[in-house]
Amino acid sequence: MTVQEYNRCVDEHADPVYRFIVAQLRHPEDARDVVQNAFEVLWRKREEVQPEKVRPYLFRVAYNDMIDHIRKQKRMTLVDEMAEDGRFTQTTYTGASEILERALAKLPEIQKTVVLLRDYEGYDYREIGEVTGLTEAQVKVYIFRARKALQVRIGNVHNLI
Amino acid sequence: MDINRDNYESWFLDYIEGSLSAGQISQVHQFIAVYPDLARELAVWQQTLLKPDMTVVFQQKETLKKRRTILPSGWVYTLGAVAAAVLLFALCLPLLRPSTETHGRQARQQQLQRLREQSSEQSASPGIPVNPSDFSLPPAPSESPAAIPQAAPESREAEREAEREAQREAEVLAPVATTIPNPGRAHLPNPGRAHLPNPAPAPMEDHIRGSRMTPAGSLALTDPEHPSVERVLPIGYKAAAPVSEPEKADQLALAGIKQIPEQSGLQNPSWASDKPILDAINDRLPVDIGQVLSRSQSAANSLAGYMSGETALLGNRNRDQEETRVFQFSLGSFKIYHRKTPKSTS
Repeated sequence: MTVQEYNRCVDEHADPVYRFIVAQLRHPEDARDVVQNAFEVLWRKREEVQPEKVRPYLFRVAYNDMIDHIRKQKRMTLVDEMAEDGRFTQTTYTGASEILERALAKLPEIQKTVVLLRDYEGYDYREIGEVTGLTEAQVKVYIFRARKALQVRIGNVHNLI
Repeated sequence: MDINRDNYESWFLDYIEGSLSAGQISQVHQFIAVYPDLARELAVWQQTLLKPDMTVVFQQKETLKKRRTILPSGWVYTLGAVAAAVLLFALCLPLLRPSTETHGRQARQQQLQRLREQSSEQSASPGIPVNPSDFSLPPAPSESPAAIPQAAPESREAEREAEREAQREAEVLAPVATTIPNPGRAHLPNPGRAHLPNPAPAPMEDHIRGSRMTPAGSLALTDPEHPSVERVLPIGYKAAAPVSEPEKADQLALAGIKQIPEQSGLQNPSWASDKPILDAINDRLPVDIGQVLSRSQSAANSLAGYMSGETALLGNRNRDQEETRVFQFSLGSFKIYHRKTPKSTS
């Protein structure tokens, strides 16, 4: 991979990788660090990564880095979730996307990841498995659980409204 | 298996994911026509599809990009080796000094011999008294000219001229040998303490903009708040003699830099893709430092060795954190110093 090709990868893939990470971390600064690290890793491994595999490679590196980051920040995350719970019962929802966003935030990380890769990137189960290290069957199970949980939470909110 | 009330959820999942065939889609439509409550549930399932917010973008793409290397990496090693050879030669100059002094003395002796010959020729002419014993080996340049014995006026004048020339020759050679081993102390007794009791916490980029290279190889930084005062930071100092901690602290204090634990450019490479910093450096270097440093520590060392003879201090202020990062190059080491500066109100 030449410098020019690498820079083109930055233009093409930085935004989707960033959206994927920030949707899960919900912290732009941390998401920027994760994306920056993913591209640094890509630059170091540029001779080994095949051009057609660059995008899933970036997602995989970013995903792994994000998991490490979440583990390190676990305590803070728990505090945030408790705060979120408090808001959840008091906030008035203004739109379906907001309801969905809040419901998504409450999913386990792996469910969030697979459903984001599926919907944001349009990856099939095999590609999602390559990023996350899961089998296709596991991916389908997690996607089902994620959508079921989202459906239940959205349905509950509709019932409240 | 056909869709029923026990397995409809997996069918709904495949339906919204677009995994069903045309026939299976038709089955789902017939099924929800029979069960209106499940039709409402299918509508909620469809709302679980996420749509990316395309307005969310990564703003700092330029910081991720790499610049093309101007010099092949192999050149860096070559340049480092050349720089090391030059420095080694410079360090050996003091050892050569006695021989140059001997050479200068021999030259003076030869010149005096010529003067004697001229005087002898002049003594052959009548009317000019000559005493051959007046001519002797002249003293060293530091000796008083009064010690020179008397001679004919023309001869003394010529002799003094020869002495002055020999002295100039010695002066040309001497500073080379005496300046290099310790240029920092030679040019920097303590200017900061004497002229800048309170080093101004101005942005380092201002210092760099006003910097110039001194003939002795030091980097002179013009203080924007005290334009008439230059703070000179020695370079190549470590190549000549290791810098002791107190000396280093003095130098950093002069620059108003607070040292934090050393960081290798490799161990913490995030700055290497910081475009403003790279631009600030690359504008002054013939190589892409980000690329060089991301390759290997030895490359960093080679570059540091190469750079030690030209530039020692470069810096740039972090745009977000009001933080100045100063990159100091010296032989065999590459260090980053951080300096926190007050956030400007403008």
